[in-house]
Amino acid sequence: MPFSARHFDGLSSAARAVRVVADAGVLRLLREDGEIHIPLSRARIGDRLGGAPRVIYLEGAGELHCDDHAAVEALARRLGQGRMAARIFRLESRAWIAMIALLFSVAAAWLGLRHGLPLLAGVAAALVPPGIEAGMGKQTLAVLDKLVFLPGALPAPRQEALRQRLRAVCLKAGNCPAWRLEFRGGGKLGANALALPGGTPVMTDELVKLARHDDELIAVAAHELGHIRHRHALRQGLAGAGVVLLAQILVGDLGSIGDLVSGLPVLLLQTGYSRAMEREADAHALALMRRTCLPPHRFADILRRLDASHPGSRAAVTLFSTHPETRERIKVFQVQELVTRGC
Amino acid sequence: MAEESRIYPFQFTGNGGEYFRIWIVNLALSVVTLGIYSAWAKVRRKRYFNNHTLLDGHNFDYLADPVAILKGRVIAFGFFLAYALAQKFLPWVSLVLLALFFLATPWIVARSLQFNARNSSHRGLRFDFRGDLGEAFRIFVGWGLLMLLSLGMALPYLLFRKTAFIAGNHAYGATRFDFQGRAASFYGIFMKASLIMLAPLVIIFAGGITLASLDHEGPVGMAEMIGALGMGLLLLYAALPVVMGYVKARVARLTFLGTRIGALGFAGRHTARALIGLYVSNLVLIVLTLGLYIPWARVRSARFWLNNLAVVGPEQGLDGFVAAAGAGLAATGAEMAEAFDVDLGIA
Repeated sequence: MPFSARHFDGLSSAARAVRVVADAGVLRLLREDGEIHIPLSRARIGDRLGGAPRVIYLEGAGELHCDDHAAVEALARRLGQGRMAARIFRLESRAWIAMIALLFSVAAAWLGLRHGLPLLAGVAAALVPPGIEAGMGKQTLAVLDKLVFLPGALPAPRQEALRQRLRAVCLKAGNCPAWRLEFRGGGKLGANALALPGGTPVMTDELVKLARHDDELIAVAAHELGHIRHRHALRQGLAGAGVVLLAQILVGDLGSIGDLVSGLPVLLLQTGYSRAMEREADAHALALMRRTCLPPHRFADILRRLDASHPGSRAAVTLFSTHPETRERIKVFQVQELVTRGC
Repeated sequence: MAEESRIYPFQFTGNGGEYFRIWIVNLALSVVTLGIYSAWAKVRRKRYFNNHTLLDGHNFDYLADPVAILKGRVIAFGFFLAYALAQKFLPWVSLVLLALFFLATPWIVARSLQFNARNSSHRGLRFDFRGDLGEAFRIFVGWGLLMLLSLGMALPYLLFRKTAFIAGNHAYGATRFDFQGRAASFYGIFMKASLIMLAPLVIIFAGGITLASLDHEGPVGMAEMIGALGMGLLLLYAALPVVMGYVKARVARLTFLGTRIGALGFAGRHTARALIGLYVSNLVLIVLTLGLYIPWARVRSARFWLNNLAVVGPEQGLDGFVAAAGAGLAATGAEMAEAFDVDLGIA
């Protein structure tokens, strides 16, 4: 079926009106002053997009622009081209499919960020060699030493005794990752403990002072070892970077507005991840304590005292606080206390 | 121009509903394919805008190969991941990466402009960008640093050089664009813009003085003080789109006035007032619809820029351009620019 089109020869910007006839094996462009023949094998039909004119690219002979969509579709079918593109065009043409795509995108974004990304981060973390992770830990400690921590005031024998105790517990439990326990003055952090990537739990002097029993400190160390064992610091870093990247790549159109808007969800998700990670670390501490016959209430005790020593980080900010509500966590350890028997 | 000249208007024929469907369907497809399809989605989005842009009744086209864009994205992705991780765990490395990125900016910008230009076509001829890397380096690194050192005093000059660099180094087929302009005109724009920015500050100041000089007993109430400050801050935020719209519309006018290609010139009638209205209404609607309005906002902007623009040229039409030999180009520069949100600021 012949159709009208505008021909550009690719050499100049001149437009020429032509009639296009698809014959056996050739595309004939009929002009007032003659005829051009182009082998059909050299014609590539451009994808249909909205109401835009269709373009047929003629290898080495410029292009045809045409408003007769039916004729171009017929030619594409005949050439066996653009089936996929035609399908995508049909998807883009229907309002109800757009609605489904919208609902799907929102749901997928939510699920993907909530569950998919942490999973991916876990897989990616497994690919990071332990040596690099250890290097990261060393760097982080150096930065914290400069910005937050004060030199530790805990006497060396006391430090060594605690390390000795943890070593003994780990030997008995058998599921500790490699670790190097460090002690520092807490500075702004006060009584606290943290797990740096690569196997370095750090306790502040204030925390040691807060404890009324060494087993409380062992319980905290077991919690931090849980973070280390599951490589939480690394996974969180990877997941955070992933959120920003995904937003950029998928939406793409947002530009700088996107950065503004994506900042908050990133923050919320980060806290969400951290809560799941705290629970995982708690579970590790609990398992270790039960295996070594340490009473679980030791962890609950120090947690309660920690909670009291950090006023301001209580009920009012539970939504944003990194640790799951402390009362809830304490309850878990108290319930376990009742079922822990046979030691 | 001694001969008769004619006006060839640009026209944007896309519409918001149609673009929304394309945007959301391609977004969903990108999600289904775990982001791989996003390169194809990007080509489709760009092609939608080019295909619906008509000059003298003929449309533009976008010819980029999605695979090239995908490769660029993978490279940018790797770099960004390394940076994000380094920032968290190895701050020194991240600073080095940032410095490297800053030094690479001119290359990224030039490549991105080139990739975009070479993959855009009109009437069967491709565009090109032939900006010199040395000049890009002088503008984005040299003048960029100088702008920081001069506390922004060099900004209008930087913008002038950037406009000249971008507008003057494009080519259509074998014909180069040419840009003539003066830095002084850019300073004029920024003088006025700073006056607009100053207004809220003056109001805060005046408010403060009025409060202080009021006949009252005891100190000024804290509430009044905070109220005046809050009002001023609100005005400052309100002034932001106004200043942005004003600067962008005026810079666009200078750009179009100063740019020529062959015997053709440009004529725009973009008023600052209309652009400010566009910015404000788009922003409000995007926020109110939680981002769903974005496709409509993009279509409205395209319509504003194109429907107010025309080419002024000789009576006999726009048939006289010839092709130049061109080659393909990897997309890394363009994708790096996007991943790191380098603002190219093309009016």
